[in-house]
Amino acid sequence: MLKFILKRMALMLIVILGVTVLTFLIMHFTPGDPAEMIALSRHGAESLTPENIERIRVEEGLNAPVYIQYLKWLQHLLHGDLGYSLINGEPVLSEILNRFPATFKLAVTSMIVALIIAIPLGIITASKQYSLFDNLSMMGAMIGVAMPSFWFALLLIHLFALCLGWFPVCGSGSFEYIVLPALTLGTGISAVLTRFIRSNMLDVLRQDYIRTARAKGLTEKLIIIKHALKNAFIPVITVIGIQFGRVLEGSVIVETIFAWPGIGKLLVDSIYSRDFAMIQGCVLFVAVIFVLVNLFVDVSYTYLDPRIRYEERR
Amino acid sequence: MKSAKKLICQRLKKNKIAIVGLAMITFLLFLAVFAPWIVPHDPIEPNLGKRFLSPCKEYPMGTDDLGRCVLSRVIYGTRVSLQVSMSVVGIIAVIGVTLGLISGYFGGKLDELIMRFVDTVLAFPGIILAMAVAGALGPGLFNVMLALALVSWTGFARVVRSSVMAVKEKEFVESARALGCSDLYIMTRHILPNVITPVIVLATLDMGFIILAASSLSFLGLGAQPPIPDWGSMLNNGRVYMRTAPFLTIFPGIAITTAVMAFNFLGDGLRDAMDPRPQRELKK
Amino acid sequence: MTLLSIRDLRTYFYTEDGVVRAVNGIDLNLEEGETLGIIGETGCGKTMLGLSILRLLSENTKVEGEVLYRGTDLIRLSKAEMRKIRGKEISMIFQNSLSSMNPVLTVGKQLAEPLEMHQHMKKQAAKQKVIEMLKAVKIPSPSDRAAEYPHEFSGGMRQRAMIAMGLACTPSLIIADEPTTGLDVTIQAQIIELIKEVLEHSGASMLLITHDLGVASELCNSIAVMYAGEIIEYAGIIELFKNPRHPYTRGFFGSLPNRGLKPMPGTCPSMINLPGGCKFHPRCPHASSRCEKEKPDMLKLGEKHYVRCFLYD
Ligand SMILES: Nc1ncnc2c1ncn2[C@@H]1O[C@H](COP(=O)(O)OP(=O)(O)O)[C@@H](O)[C@H]1O
Ligand code: SF4
Ligand SMILES: [Mg+2]
Repeated sequence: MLKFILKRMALMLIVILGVTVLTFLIMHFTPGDPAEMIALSRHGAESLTPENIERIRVEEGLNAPVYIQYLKWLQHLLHGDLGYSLINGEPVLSEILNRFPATFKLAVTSMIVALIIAIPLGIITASKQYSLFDNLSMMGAMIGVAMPSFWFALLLIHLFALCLGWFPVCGSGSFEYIVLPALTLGTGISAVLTRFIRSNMLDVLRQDYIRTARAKGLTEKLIIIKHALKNAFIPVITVIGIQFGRVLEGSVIVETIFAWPGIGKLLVDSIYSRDFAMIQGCVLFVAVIFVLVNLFVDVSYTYLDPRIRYEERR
Repeated sequence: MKSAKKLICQRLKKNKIAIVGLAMITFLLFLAVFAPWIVPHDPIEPNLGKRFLSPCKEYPMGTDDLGRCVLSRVIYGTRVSLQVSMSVVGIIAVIGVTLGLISGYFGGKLDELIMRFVDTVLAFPGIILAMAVAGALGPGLFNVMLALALVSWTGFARVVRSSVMAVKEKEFVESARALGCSDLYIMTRHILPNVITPVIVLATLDMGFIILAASSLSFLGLGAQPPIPDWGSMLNNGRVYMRTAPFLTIFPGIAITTAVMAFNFLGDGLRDAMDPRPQRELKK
Repeated sequence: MTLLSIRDLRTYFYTEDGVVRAVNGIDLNLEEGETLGIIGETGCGKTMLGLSILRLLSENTKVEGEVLYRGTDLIRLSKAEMRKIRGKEISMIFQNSLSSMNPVLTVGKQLAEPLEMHQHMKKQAAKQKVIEMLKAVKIPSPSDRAAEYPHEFSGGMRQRAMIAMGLACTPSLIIADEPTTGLDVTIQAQIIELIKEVLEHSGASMLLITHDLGVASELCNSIAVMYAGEIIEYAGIIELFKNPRHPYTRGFFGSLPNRGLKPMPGTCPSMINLPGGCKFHPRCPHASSRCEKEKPDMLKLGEKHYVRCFLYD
């Protein structure tokens, strides 16, 4: 078990290193002169003289070979230094950490919304396959998967904020503010999750051990609760991990639409203002979080499935 | 091989949803190709005298803030959307298939390297990486396509790799090798045809994904720039007027959903039809 | 006393490729305390027969005919009434013990279920009883093993646990589907011994499904030979071994390794496109033109010997 976790962690470190390389390269090959941008952000437009720019280039080591620049950047990174915003000069990391709680709150709430919708729906549709309810739900899920989240958000705003006035259009603060963003994200994910839970349940319900349970005279309800659910949900855990990535992706758009002050909005704002240091920081941060979540999922998966637990013990 | 293809076709014909998907795709292609002859009005030229008209006989989907016919723009949007998604899927299929072939065929260190690269790209939530790339390159449809291609080829690489590993050990490959055929020849003539089916399924499903992703980026203003009639940017433009002119957001959204659904229907159907299980249960 | 009486049982599956006729009009009687073997090649519908009796088939199947258990027709029982029969009156022991046990529940929990369900035992009492049950099927250190998962058991031990599970509520009839297939020869012998013992001890009847004549000869009083969803010969165990009549039965006996390897030519027909007339005629060395056109009836040859073949008409 421990060996497995260590192995996964080693692999994760390689991936994270790859992530830093990729992030660095993308920003490095961005069109535009970084020295010029730094000059502009630090000393204003009047500092844009060739001498000034050249001086910054040397100071910042921007004339060194790429790999030297990367190693230097990595060294800073390891000390928690993600650089400074090109717009307001604030440290990137502290800005991101400031925004993280909002994104976290939104992500968790959305995930809860998604699970509240998807778990019962997935179970009921699987146990009543081909019923009218099943067909309607699957149709709904098909639409849900295909619908762009920003459009769904706009529809929700139109209905619940503009027409009915139940919830605020955007912003953050009290509970009402999170309802529409979480509903937008949660519904989208629930469409994927419902389909997944349903097909998993159907798979499990076809297994021999379910037949054995029936042969013992158990009721369908007991069979689903005691025999099917746990088997069907072990793979669901993995998908929840993947869906967490969806939440992070979706949060960029949803936070922008609802003016939710999280990392997603920070990223989009930085893109608009071409704050490359901040973009780099956000992308790196999100990727690392995503990798960590997946590691957590893998480990909990091994813990939940006695078959794997057994093999690891040997 | 022949009979397997026949079986797949037969099953596909029986799959109503896949047929609906195929019909929808045909319709979308028709709109895209014949847009100039179908549209009732010019999709780009402003007509300031006719701003914000509600849907009516002349303008079935109303007009936007510059008085342009929304229907005409939605129809032209089909063209933009399909162009973008088909190009991206084409590019990522080529990249992914090539890397997957190499990885699966040669194995060893090269495989390890390519797979770690795949893991690294997969470590990012796709759209966020695409957004960063598109943001770094600056707005524009071409940059969006580049960004999406960069982040979404991994699926092909993985699928092709595992299919290649399965066929690699088959007799006909062994005998081709014994005959002294070059690796390149074996890969393109013997292995590629055998991995083509999963690639088609994935390409179909990816079409939907790319349409969705591209419209998201356009919605954020990173993709198509005005006055290009793109569904995502139409939504972005329309959301300001949501209170007074909701039709500006409703119709492009329906268009995106329909297009994505069309490809998902067909993709799901194809995947089911290629399921190797010989007999599937029918309802009573 | 007749315990189970099957009348013209038919089981159909509806699939994309057509209707699978897995059970094709079977008549059988099983007396109290009797062990009846159902033998036949793989794919001839034995398992489907067993599952049809307990109505354990999926939604896409149709079961017709009568299954009279102590006079009540199981096919016509409501779902709730059927559940009271399963595991309590009639239990089933399945072939592949690994896939037939839930991988994420301990063996103890799975064995306790019939007790909790039918005898309304409390958890603690059921736990005690499970340990006794495991002891009865000779599983060493039963209280430890009850807390283990199925994959931690060896194949033989798992099959013992399955048998214990089938016996939990002392049923009157046990349907055992290939209980020894896939086990080592020595383990097979042990399981056969165990089944003999528990049958003697409990007085239950058994429907033993197997493609292994050796197993059948060890355990059964009488044997029904099945081919393409039909019974084609039925006789007492000694009579059948001495006097096999149906060409298929003879071929089946001939293909036994210990009688010199002489495999039967041809394979079991597809259950979708069954041949007309006698279903065995494409493979039968004695087939005549009549066999292709007419379907033979079950003929009585002796007191307890029946055969479905025109040769004895
Ligand atoms: N779920 C199913 N759907 C369609 N056909 C089936 C199904 N299960 C079994 N069959 C068919 O029914 C026939 C009888 O199978 P079975 O009773 O399992 O044979 P066996 O005698 O080996 O136990 C086989 O030809 C098999 O293909
Ligand atoms: S009825 Fe005819 S075909 Fe069938 S077993 Fe007898 S001889 Fe053979
Ligand atoms: Mg069987």
